[in-house]
Amino acid sequence: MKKTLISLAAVAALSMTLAAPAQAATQANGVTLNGVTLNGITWNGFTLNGVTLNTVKFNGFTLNGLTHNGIKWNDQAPTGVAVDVCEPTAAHTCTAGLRAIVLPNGERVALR
Amino acid sequence: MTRLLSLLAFGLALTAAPALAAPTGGLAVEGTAFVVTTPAARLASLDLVGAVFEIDDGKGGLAQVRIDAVTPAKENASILLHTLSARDPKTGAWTNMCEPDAQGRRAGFPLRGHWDGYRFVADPNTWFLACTSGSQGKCVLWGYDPWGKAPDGRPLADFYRTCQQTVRADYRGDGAPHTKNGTEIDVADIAGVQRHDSLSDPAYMFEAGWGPTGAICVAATRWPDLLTQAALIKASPNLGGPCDAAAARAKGALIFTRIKRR
Repeated sequence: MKKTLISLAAVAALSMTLAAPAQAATQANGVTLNGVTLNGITWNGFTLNGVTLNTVKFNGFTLNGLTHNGIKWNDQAPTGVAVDVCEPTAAHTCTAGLRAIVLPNGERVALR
Repeated sequence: MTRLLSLLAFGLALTAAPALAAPTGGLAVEGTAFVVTTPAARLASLDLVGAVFEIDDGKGGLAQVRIDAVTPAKENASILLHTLSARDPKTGAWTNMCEPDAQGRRAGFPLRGHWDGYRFVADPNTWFLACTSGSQGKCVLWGYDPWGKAPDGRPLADFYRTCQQTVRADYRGDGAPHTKNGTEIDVADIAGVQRHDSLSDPAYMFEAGWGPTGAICVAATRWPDLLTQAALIKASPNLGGPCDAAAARAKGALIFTRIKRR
């Protein structure tokens, strides 16, 4: 099986492209194209935002999930936190400083 | 890139008096959900959308964190993704706390435990926030729940620890990543949580076997422009020698990775 690697931008574009009228020209093997998940679909000469996929087979390829044929996307950062309001230390715990919670109904509850 | 705002940034002091007058409750983390218990109710994350946590910044002020939304993760519906925002005390603006992940999601979840440097400590009395864009959250999404068990029944805590180094190509386990955001890796493990998909694909090759403290052996580095295999082995000879899945497993590896040839 040939592994196909497309950029996330292309993945995003795929969803948009599939929803467009042009999808009628694609070979979808009876699977809903704008339903995101493409299982066992063979695409022939389908161009996604400039990326041409020729006779590429997607097996278990979930576009809106993390799994791309079992291949994961990795990152450098451990936390992925943009704003750290807990302890900006290696421990990253939020436990010690937590004082209260204001519930959706406005009730304020002190946390022990 | 992770940006850590100092707690000093949350310098808006809120008096402690209201807390004394408020009813007292408890907060626990169960799985990836908050559970707040009050004298009148037990509220889980889905009931807490719109709630605001007040966290002592240690400087006399309080940081405020709001739960904006809670949705099941597409990878595993039992994992609840929380959209969390923090209030800037100077402007009053709420900012999403998580960097976007590879899918553009900006969400995270609480997990029990804490970190001793780069090592997860399974402490049920503490909790931390993990975003999906970081290894701490991503490894849970991949199936390595540090409090869970593998299909074969073995605890996953060490797999979760191992996954941290795996995701970040932290070969020596010293906290130094050797990868780039968005790099594809093909992950498998000895417990059957993940399996390789690229074994018949000549475009991929074995990278390394991994354990809780870093690589067990390294056949190739993820990005030679960041670190060559030769340079790594020169600095860490223990990572050299024959290295494929079988050899790594024999040396105690829990997770294996395959990467694109470059």
